[in-house]
Amino acid sequence: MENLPTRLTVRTALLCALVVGGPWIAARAEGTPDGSQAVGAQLQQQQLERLLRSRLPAAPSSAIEGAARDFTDHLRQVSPIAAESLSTGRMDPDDLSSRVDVYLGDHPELTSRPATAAADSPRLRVAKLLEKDPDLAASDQERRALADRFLGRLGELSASSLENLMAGRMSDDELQSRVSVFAEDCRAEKNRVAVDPATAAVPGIVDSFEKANLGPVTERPDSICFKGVEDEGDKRREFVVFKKRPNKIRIHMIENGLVIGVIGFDGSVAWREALGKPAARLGGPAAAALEESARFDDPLVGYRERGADVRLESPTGASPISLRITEADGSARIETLDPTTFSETSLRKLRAGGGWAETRFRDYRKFGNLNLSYTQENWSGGSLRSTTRITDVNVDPGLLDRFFSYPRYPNFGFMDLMGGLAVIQARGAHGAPSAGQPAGTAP
Amino acid sequence: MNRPEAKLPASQRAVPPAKWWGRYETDGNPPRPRFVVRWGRILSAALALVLTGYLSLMTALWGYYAIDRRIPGVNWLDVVVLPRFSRVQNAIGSHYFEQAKDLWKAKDYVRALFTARAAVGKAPANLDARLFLAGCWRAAGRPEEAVRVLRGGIAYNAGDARLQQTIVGTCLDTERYQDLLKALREEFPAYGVTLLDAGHPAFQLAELRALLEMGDAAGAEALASAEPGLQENPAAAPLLAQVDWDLGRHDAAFARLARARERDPADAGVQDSYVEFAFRTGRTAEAHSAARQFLDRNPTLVAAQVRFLEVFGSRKGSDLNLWVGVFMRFMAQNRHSADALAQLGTLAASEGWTDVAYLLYQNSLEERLNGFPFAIYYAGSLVKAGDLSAADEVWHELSIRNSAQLASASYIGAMVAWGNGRVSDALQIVDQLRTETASDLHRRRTIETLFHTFGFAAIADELAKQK
Repeated sequence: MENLPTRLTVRTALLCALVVGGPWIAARAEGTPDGSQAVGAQLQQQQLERLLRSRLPAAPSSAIEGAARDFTDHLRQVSPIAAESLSTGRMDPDDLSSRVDVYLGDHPELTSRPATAAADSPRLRVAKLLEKDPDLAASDQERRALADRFLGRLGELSASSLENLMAGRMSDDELQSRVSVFAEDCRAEKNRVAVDPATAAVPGIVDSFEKANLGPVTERPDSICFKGVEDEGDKRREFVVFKKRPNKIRIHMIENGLVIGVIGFDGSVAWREALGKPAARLGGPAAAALEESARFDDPLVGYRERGADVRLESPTGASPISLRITEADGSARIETLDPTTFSETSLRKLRAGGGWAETRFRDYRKFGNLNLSYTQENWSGGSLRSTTRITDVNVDPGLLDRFFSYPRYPNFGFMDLMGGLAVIQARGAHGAPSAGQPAGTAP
Repeated sequence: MNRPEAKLPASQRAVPPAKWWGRYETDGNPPRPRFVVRWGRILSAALALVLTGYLSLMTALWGYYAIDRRIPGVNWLDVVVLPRFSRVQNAIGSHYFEQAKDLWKAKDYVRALFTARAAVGKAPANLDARLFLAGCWRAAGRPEEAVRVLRGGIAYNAGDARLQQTIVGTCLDTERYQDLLKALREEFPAYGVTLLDAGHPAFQLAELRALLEMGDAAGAEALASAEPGLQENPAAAPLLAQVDWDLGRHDAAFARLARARERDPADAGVQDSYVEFAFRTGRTAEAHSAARQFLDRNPTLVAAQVRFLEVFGSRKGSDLNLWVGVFMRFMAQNRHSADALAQLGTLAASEGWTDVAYLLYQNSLEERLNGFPFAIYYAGSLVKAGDLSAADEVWHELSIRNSAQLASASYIGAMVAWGNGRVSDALQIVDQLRTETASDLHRRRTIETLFHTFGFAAIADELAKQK
């Protein structure tokens, strides 16, 4: 998901630079993460993992990490105060130890089977229901594999439904109905596969892509934000991008450490706001580009649900894997994946005026479950146009829906603040009392 | 032909050859051989063996420390001569300390904590290691551990001013007033260090503040009466004014601060309290004038700026321009300082300034890619402003993915739930708060005050109930 949102929004930032106007000046504001929070979070993870490792000596690291996350979520549900104590490292070690013991007692599958056992119970429920469809899966193994696909697809369609199922709250009738629809989809898919082998390998590739880059459906973030710079020739542009599911986006364009322009899309209205100008609605190609960038997930995620067609372009087993994604509106793009890591290596899109625009991705780093490309190159006509570097990332930072909405302020708003700061900064540059040296109460 | 050997008398028979540890002697009549043990040689040999064994063991131990583990400063002589072994312990402690610092830098916090604890265990008199360990615990959000570690150092470094000041500072910052009083009144004196005398006004002030914060205004007044120096100390004036206030003498509190301000117009603490009490007692014009003077004297002081914004917070008429001017300069100066912004965020929440709180929230996202804690201040400001449905919406949105952050301000959740008619939800949170603050009455009082400030006296009463 995030490698693509990053890429798309960067391209949107370029577009918006034109929309909002104003020169970009090379200046970089380093993020200053909250030290004590980082310490608390690290400590929580390390303490938990040590405990779990001692309780589950045979479990691999991935299972330990998964169990730690499950435990934290479980704690948040049953006791937010205890969860907060844990997150700030204030929980007594004995208390933590006994809570872990209770948790493991409630999850015997963790102690008996090291990996991915947490989801077995709903998985088995689904697998049992799939026994009625022997044409889709004949053996237990096949049914379990199909059940995994069902869980993944359910998460894409409705995270809350998946949560209900995982927590055992989904009724048998509802599950039966969902499994029946899924079985019909599978049959239809199977029939298509029979006539078009180029699509046969796609679901497996997409599953691998999601596992490698996004992690389990229930643990995927709801929102993300990142800072970065884009170098184009001798110009440098700074930006901050905020995104929230399913399709909200807000981009800040920065110059001299101050935000000089904001564009946003709240799922229905695209808008822009620049220094010294009131907010205005965006329309036309700029709004369309922003809306396209607002999609939270990678185009490969949930392609069937939105009616897109994905076909394998490269020969089976070739490197890299090349997939052509054709959207319902006819627009097409070609995505290439590394066959070993399943990281996205490039994305090409046919431009309106003809010719392909390509973005290449490298410098992948893990941020939790997310695999993010921190360096992205934009190529066009065979030459490198710009390079974007992500400098800071955070997920689920507490983004409210209002943050993405068309700005309506009773008094003064964010861009008014930025305008005021710009004036103070300019006065400072001209020798007047600067921001750091306010002169008493004189306004 | 072999002839049978003649049998000699015993006295003439040859004695067995001598050993190094004994020999045969013949004496007596008739002379008889007698074995004589050479005790001197045996003891010397045993001693030599023991000595060699000891030296070998100690050398092996030295090799283990100095060569295998590469601990610097471990001398062979210090290992061998037992009375000097404490130097080895110190060297090991220093080594652990350095390792702990490196681990902390590398963000391996758990191992850093364990190693720092080992450093203090090996060399309990190493104050630097102890202060570092305490700092680690504070950074990890475990102030009670930090205070415990620091208090453990009193046995070794009671006379060290750094330890004394760090204990007092940590206890005050982390609101561990009971620990502070115990350390000052019992633990330091047990090691011959008296800090609560007239020669240590800072520690007397700390004791006074601890009593006040624990709700013992009468005890604080008794303490101040017993120490005439405190009455004369301008730095004590804000605390003593608070004592007066808590005991219901509101005008006396203001008068005390007025006198202190006349005596020392440059003292920022006195100025700040003077403005606050003028405002509290309804002397608005005086508060405005004093706030201006305070800010003019300290134009970059965050406390002066925030106090000004509070006092001119009506934001109406002529106040508005003044307010906006100071606010903009505050933001220009402190836009990157989370601590300063948090002070303004708290003020915005308690005053119901939803616009300011929302600006700070946006600024936090822009600056630090993190909406917390300003999202909570924003929710608080909505509650205070009476926009409870908006507060409910915000709280609900945040709770989906950020329940852990919200748990630290669950009292706002209680007000939101109560205000939106979900009384049982609110009571459940209050119940949790009651349990959580059972051993921290200071925090409980603070939360009760907060409920009153936000207009939820009924929740405060619920919290105060004993179950």
